[in-house]
Amino acid sequence: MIALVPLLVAALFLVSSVVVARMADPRGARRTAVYCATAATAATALSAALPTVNRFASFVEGRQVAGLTVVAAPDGAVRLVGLVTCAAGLLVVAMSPLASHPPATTARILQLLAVSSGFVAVRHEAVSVVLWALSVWLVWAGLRGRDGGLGDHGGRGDGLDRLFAVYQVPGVLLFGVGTALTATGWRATGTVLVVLGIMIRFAVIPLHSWYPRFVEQAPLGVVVAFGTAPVGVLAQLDLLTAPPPASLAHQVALVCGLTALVASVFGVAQRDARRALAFLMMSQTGLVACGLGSGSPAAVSGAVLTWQVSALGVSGFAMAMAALEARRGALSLVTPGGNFARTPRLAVAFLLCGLATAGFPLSLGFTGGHLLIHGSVAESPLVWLALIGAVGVNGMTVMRCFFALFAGSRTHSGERDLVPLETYALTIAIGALLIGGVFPVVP
Amino acid sequence: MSTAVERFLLLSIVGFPLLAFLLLAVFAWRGGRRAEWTVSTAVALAFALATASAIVLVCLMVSGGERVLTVSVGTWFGTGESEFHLLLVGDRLSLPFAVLMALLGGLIGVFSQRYLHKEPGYLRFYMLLALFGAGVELVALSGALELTFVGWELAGLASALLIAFFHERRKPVEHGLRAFLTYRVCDVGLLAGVVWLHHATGSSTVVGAEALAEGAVPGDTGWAAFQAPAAARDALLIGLLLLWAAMGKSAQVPLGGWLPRAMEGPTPSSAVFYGAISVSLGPYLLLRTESVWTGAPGARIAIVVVGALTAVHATLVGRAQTDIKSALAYASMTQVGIILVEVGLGLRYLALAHLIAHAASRSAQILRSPSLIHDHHHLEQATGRPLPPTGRHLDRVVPRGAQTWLYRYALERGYFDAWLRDHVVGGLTRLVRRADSLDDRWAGLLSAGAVPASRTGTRDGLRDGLRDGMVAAARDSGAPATARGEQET
Repeated sequence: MIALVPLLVAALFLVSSVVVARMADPRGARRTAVYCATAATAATALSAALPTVNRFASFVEGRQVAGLTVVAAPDGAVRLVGLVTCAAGLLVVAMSPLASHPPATTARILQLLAVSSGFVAVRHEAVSVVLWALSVWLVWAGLRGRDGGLGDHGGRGDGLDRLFAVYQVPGVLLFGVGTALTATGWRATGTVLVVLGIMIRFAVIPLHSWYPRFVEQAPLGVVVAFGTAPVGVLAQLDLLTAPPPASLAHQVALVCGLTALVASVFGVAQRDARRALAFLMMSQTGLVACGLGSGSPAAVSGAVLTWQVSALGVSGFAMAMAALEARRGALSLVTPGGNFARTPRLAVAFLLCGLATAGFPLSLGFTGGHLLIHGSVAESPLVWLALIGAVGVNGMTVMRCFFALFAGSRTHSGERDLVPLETYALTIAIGALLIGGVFPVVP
Repeated sequence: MSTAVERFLLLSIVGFPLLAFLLLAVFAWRGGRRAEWTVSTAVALAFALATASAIVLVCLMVSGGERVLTVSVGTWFGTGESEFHLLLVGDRLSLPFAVLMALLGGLIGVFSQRYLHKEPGYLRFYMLLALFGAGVELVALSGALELTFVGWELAGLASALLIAFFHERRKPVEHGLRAFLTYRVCDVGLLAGVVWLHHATGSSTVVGAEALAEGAVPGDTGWAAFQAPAAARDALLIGLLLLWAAMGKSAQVPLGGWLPRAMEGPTPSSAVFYGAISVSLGPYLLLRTESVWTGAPGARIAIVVVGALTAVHATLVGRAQTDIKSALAYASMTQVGIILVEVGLGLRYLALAHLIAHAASRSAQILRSPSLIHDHHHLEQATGRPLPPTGRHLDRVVPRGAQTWLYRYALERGYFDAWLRDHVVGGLTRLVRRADSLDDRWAGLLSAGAVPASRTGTRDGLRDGLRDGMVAAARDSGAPATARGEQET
């Protein structure tokens, strides 16, 4: 099946990445990327809203063209995946600091967003494998600094490209072979391999060691954009694999639930802000994967909502951290060393995104967390207790980061508050998180 | 007509403070500057209207002979197997507490107009006060435990942020964080208890007035109650989880170390939060859920033991404090401990009366505390002689050797803080950091083929190198190398 709007959005991202890569002025490049992401977000929002209006219902119905089903926009839970991906992309490009995100990096982020949209646009096993591999290659090539895309700091100095490849190449192979086996009738074996590939990509413990260093050393815009890519695949897992055997699903839910808990505990004990962010992100993906692995409809709905929160909340949290790091330098959590009065909006945005991520009430994260926990009760006591613990500890991590980075010091280095472009993107993200929390759309 | 009015009144008790918070939050985000008078009047007015609504509602219910009023606003969200009900309840437990919160909130709003005049965080204070008020009213009036959790979290967040109100000083920030961490650890108990109750009984909402009249709830508590789990084991475990939640919020032993530290916040917020309302939420939760754990003697015993230990501990430690706000904090702990004992013994009306009386008098004491020395002199002048020292009877009753030990115990605050810091939190942190270090070394081995020096810890050298790399990358790509604050944004 091909969805036209996501396909056009993917093309838009690709074209703008070419334009941005050729621009010399980083400010102009970022502005162009923001225009593109805004247009993409508006288009996907419109396409998501179309089916709700009777007059336009006929436009969104599928048509057969040359043996392929062509629709205007995907339906079901996938419909919002594209929208959230674009909104997260808007947040990323608008908030990427110029120093760590030159035009080449911004172009690479746009390419990753194109891949993410591609997952939603084309629902076919082979295409998914190609896009999966493409997203990995884009990041790896950038880390190697072949094209200067991610700069020197990411790759050669610390061998991050090598570490990334050590984990991601087997991950791609497992995903590809698993998909092929599934398509040829070896569904049980194929499912296991696909799940293993996804677990590597999601940094599920014990397959996670690449992730903290990746978050620490790669530009945060790339980290966030790379994180949005695989969810399109998860949204169409029913196409790729057979429904997993109950015992396998149970094991996956258990491992992912424990990953969420262990990562949250590691996150709260960190002294470095970026490393704490890495474990917070791992914990969130653990929550999502746990919910998807669980058989309960409530848990699956909770997982989808939690992913939406991760895409917007964690992205906002991460990009606010990137913005602060660009203003102040390395961020330590050892002692409180910020001044709230200097950057009140940045601080509030950081806190709100973080609290939404941690499932705080009146945010979309609360809805997701609530459904996830209630839905997983049937799984096993260990799973839902792990989820409750993870949600609780993630809140601690967020608050610890907030106090350490934005309070505790009279002095400051002259850092400025949010610029209009950043305010624009964060207002959209925070508005979506809060309005989505008060009026949630449960898939 | 009457039902519609009652419904509106019950909703407005929560709605007015929440509306005030939302309005101020939108103004703050837009960067608008409002006169102090506008900000404080909006919040004080919201609490005044909430107070009036609550009082009128009480009058209507008393005149109509109504015992319990439940108002359902519908289902917030949910799937077939799990739904979140928006249910509020007004009864003889929730309404007095709601009136108390609204009244104190309004008084604090008026008091702070002068107390915080020209304070840079004026708007922030009032926003957080309104948020706290909305959270507490939600806890008080909630007829569904999930909704209680929402209010519980909002109140906790506002509380922690107000402790760190003077954000340029390190200590208030550390103490705010400590309070939040304690809350969060204990909130896990509330969440787990709610989920467990929901799945043990199929519901976590209060039963209606009809069911109460028919005796569907064991032991008539006199107010709206929850359905009790059939199995005693479930009742015990849920009771213990709820007690754990109450221990954090009400600063019970051994988790109460945050309370005296919380006094770093502005005095008005200390008065309403830690003298009156916030510390009372724990006993309130236990009173509201009494029907759930009343069938489990183990839960009752645990509540009495925790309350008694806290009362003894806090009264001892409070006597060795040298500043008035710490002494008042421990006095609050003592009284809340006694209230817990009353709750555990089933003396529910005594506990409710004690709770309200303590909240009112303690907040007045804390508000007056900055004028302590002046008041002391004034009193001595009025009596014409020095005021007699208190606690002399203890000198006679307690043996000499025990006095020294108790004094050391009080000075060290019962050794609980040190034990928690060094052995519980410290031990876990050391273990996690060691594991993290090993994990990072493994990543280093894979990435470089050699084990790097330990990087999990202070990594400023590495980060500086990375930053230099970023700047170099930006230079290569043509980014203007201006001052840091400007070039990055």
